[in-house]
Amino acid sequence: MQKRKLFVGLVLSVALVIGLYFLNRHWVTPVDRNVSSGSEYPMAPLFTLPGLMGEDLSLADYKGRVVLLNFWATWCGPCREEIPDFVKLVENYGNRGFIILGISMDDGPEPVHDFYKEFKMNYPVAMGSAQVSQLYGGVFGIPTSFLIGRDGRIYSRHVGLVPLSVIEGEINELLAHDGQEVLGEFRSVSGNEGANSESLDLGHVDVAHSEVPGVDLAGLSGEQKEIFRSELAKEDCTCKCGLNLLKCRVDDTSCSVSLVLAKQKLDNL
Amino acid sequence: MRKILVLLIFSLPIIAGAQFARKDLVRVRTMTATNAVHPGSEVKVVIAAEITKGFHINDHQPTLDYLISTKLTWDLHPAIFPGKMFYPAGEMKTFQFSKSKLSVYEGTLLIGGSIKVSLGLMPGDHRLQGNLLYQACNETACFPPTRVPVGVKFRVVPSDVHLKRLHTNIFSQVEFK
Repeated sequence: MQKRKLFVGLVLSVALVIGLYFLNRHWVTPVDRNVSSGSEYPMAPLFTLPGLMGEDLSLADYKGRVVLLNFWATWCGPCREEIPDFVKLVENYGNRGFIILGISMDDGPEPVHDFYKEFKMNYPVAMGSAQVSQLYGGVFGIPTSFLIGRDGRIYSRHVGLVPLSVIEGEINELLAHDGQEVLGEFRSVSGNEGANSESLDLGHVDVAHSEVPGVDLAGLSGEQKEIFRSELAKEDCTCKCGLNLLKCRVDDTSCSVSLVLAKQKLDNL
Repeated sequence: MRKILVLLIFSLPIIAGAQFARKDLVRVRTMTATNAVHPGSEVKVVIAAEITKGFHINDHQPTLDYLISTKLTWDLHPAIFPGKMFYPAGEMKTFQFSKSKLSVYEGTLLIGGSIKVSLGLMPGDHRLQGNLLYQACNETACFPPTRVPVGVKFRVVPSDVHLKRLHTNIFSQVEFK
């Protein structure tokens, strides 16, 4: 009997907490998305990468424009399919403040140079890095595109080939917005995720530049980092790569198995 | 019941994270045609690559220049020598992202070949290590070129020991030419 009372009390308490949470969220302090939704659409992480033409390519240089950040590679069929459409988008919307930044995930610039000429690309392309991929939450399949508004926020993310009309619609919507405040009702219509904070888990600078990619070592002393690295080196990754955890993390930053195990090890440490 | 729930809750991040790992798109098994090998002889091998449903990898001889071909490479070994590997022709398929048909592998890919063992290799268990390079895509997206380890394990036995045939149904499906 006593146990039952305790159980009912517990259930009521949980229900009360949940109720108060929603009451606070929707009734007591209604969210004015235009003002307070700072985290609804995350700020696009800034980066500087070596451009294909030898120049440095910085996202910060395109502040105030609508940017389509496109991760791609020359060996990727869907990327090759959509790039001619992107060239047309720059032709049509370039003078209204729209730009595309291509981030090539090829191993080296040589095939990218050839591709650039062959496809008559009319927008800047940089050679990507694991760090930039990490900053954008990990780019696991390509093409992956992020649509960034004039205010520097990410409004949508598309993984895979997306119809031109979808991207064009979103670009139009963002171009019409002056970027002075967060665009409240922007929604991707493609079935891909809208880039709210729940669906888009962006990386952190410390994590992206960590000695153990994907793992934040900022809180560790030099000695602790050394211990952590040696612990990772002792254990094999279970992803069947045949490497130890440290080597797998460094050589294959896309491996989520080593990422989860490394983070667990860090927690234990 | 409670234990199961706790286990489920704690395993969720691992399950959610594992879906991004791209090494799991192809699982590789190897088999030899006999249960052992005599010194100085050759044994047929098959590398079976199981490709996850919904994904494909490129033909060893892809139809377009830019595609990264599926390829086996072997590590150097002083006493075990891989012979020529035989890749089947891919299946011509149409995808959303390509105007022309592409030759790809889907399902299970069987690569045949042989390895030769030197006369001086001592009886016992041995292994030839290598890698399978593949680049996978689905209907709308592609994933980085990936290498998965491939290991052929076999036992060397004295020449007077009788050998037994294995995996005859699989070896009969592979053209060694």
